[in-house]
Amino acid sequence: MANIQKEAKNEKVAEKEQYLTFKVGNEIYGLKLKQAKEIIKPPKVTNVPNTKEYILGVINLRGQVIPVINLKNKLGLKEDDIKDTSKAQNKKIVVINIKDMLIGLYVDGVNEVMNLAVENIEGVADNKTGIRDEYIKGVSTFSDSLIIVLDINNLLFDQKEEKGA
Amino acid sequence: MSDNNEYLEMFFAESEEYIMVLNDNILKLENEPNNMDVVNSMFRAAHSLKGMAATMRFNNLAELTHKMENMMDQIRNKKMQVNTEIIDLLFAGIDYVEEIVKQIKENGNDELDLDDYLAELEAKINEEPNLDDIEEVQEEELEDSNFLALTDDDIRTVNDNKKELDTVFAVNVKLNAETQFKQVRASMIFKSAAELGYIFKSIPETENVEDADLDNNLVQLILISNQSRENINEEFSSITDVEEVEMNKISLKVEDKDKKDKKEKTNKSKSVSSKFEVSSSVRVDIGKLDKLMNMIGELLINKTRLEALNIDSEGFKDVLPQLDRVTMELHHTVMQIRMEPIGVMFNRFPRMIRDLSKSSEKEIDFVMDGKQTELDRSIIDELGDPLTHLLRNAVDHGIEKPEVRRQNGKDETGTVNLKAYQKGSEIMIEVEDDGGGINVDKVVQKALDKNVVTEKEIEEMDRDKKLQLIFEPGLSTNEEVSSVSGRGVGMDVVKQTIESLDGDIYIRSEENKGTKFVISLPLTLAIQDALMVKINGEIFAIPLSAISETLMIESEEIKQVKGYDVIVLREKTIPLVDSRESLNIEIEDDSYKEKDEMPVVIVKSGGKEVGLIVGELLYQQEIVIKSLSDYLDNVKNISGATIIGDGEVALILDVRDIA
Repeated sequence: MANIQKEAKNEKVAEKEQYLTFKVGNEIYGLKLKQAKEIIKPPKVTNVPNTKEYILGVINLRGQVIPVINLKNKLGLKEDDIKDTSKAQNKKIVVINIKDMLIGLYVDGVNEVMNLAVENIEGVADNKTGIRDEYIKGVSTFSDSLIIVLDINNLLFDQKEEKGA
Repeated sequence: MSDNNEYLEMFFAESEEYIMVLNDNILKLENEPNNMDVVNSMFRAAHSLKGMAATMRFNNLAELTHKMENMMDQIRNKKMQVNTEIIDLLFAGIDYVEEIVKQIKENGNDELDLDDYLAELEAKINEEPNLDDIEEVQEEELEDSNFLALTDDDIRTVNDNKKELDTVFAVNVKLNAETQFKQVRASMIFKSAAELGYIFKSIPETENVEDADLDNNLVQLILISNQSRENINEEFSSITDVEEVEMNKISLKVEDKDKKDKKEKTNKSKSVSSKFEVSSSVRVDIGKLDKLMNMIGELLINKTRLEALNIDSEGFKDVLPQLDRVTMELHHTVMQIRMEPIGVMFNRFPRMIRDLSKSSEKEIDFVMDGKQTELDRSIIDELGDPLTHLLRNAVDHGIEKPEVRRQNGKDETGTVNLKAYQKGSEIMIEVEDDGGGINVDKVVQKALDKNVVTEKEIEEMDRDKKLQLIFEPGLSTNEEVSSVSGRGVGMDVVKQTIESLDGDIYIRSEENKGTKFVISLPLTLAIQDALMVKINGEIFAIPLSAISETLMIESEEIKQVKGYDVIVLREKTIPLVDSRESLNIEIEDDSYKEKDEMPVVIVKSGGKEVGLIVGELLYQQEIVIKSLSDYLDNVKNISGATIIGDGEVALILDVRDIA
């Protein structure tokens, strides 16, 4: 827990916000810490037939049934495009609270909570990630690594549902 | 402020109740204009409403209810004869009350232009009474609120005890205000009364007369006696300091069934003399009950997990059945608490049907049955809209105009029947009319026009199946939109609502004979018995209420009809469905036929039966039904989820989708 907070450089105190960063494939992604509710070790996920492919299934979170999203699939990353370097025990489910719903995001590993200054988050004019623009709020660099900050709202409540994702 | 909010909540809840009582009673009054019980009950409701409104400083509402109360008072005092005009006026008043309450809910104020209505009411109240046919009902069996009242239970007791020649009198003996030894006089009254007959009930009570404070100088008695009225009057009047003796013969008829039911519900605790219905109950926020139910669900899941541990110890084996019993009882009790008689919702319909039949110039006899049938509160809340829609349809599209009915050789008065009853673990609700029925060909044509079905599909449908097309979106057979039914809600919405309650609806209709909708609902939403089955290695639950039987079949038993697999069970042909197919698990065509023997669950839905081939039959279990997250709405063939012994999630098969 001691190393959980690192300061991003060049930030102005007033404009900092905390982000939870996590790994999917070999990229690092971030989402606003206040959107995340908890991080859990994945229990057994029950597959739900007749749902979209990116729905991994449902889990029991203390008596509540919540859906789990396969972020890799939802972001459109092909399984074989990326080398999965993470070990199985690193895999986590990040439970987020959005629109009064609890939704789990299946990730390959949770990194840390970072203070990223808003201005450090750049637009996606030059989006080389292969992820749809509207899913990305911006990118930020920190200690030479690229952090892709996700727009969770757009990601989960996509009106123009992609075909065959 | 929060205090005030709490009062507001109470105000809304209670005013809703009073509005219902008023509606109910006005309707009754229309049929029995001389039933003073009804007027009294109405008066009390209006009075309470007025009191509440005044306390909350909703002066407009207070004024309105005050005027209405005045009118009821006129009726009560026989200064006004009940007629359609007055009934309409009272109904209009209730509508205003409802309107105001709604407005308070939305904007917090009770401003509404009532001047015209109040003026009309005022004019009516001041009108010279038309006393022509009032007098005759005056004397006999008048029950005034000045007298001690008898509950139904009392009346039964009295009836059981009194002899043939006995009469029951309510007697008010008024003492002179100057009387010095009131208690002594009162006991003299009791002594005389005891000689005259039998005191059934009194204020003060016989035993306490010595200590009673008689500030109102009044002794009230219910006296059963074989003496004549005059004799009794004389006897009491001869007692010193008695100023006045008022007497009334009391009706011993037990009130009509409906009312009796209602009274028995609310009057469990007998109150001695009050006209007010007192019940020893507590008003509880439904949210708290939901929470309680959830916690019991948790308890149940943990109990199941505990059982699965299967620890080899005496103590463990002892405590498990105990825990089991306590959990079941707890569950049962909470379920009971959540149950309400469906009548609380039915009560709004007579008024609605009355208004509708008036505006559509149809003669309708509206019959309600099974109002005391109990159902989970949350289900009752949801049923209001669909039933309203079905009943409106029955009046609007079902029942024909009187002249048409006459031509068709029917009674000019149509009948609409609303019925609720319990059948096993299900509650059935039927809405039936004896109107024109539904033209199946028209439904089919419309379905074809709207591309709901193809010609080919129609060919394979029997009449019954074609009828069910009416629940498809966009299908309403009556071309012209009427002010009554054409409100944008269709049968598809009705069906959706019922299905969201885990219920089912189907229609039967015969032209010129009538239409009947049958709704089946689970007793409670939260916990059900289910059969657990394994399909492709995963565990699924099938609600027991949807299963008619399970059996093993051999592959030779599978027959082909029109290219579909069926089995013949007791001379009934039942189509077969592979559960893996409906769950969209990729399978090779007909692969199940390679097996020699396979378990089949016969599920029923809307009067149809389908054989569902599963991988393995596991065990029967009580499951706690959880919603499958709002994020995954309307998953095909899955109605929800539950948590099984090891804490994993198991899905519940939606049998309606599959069948």
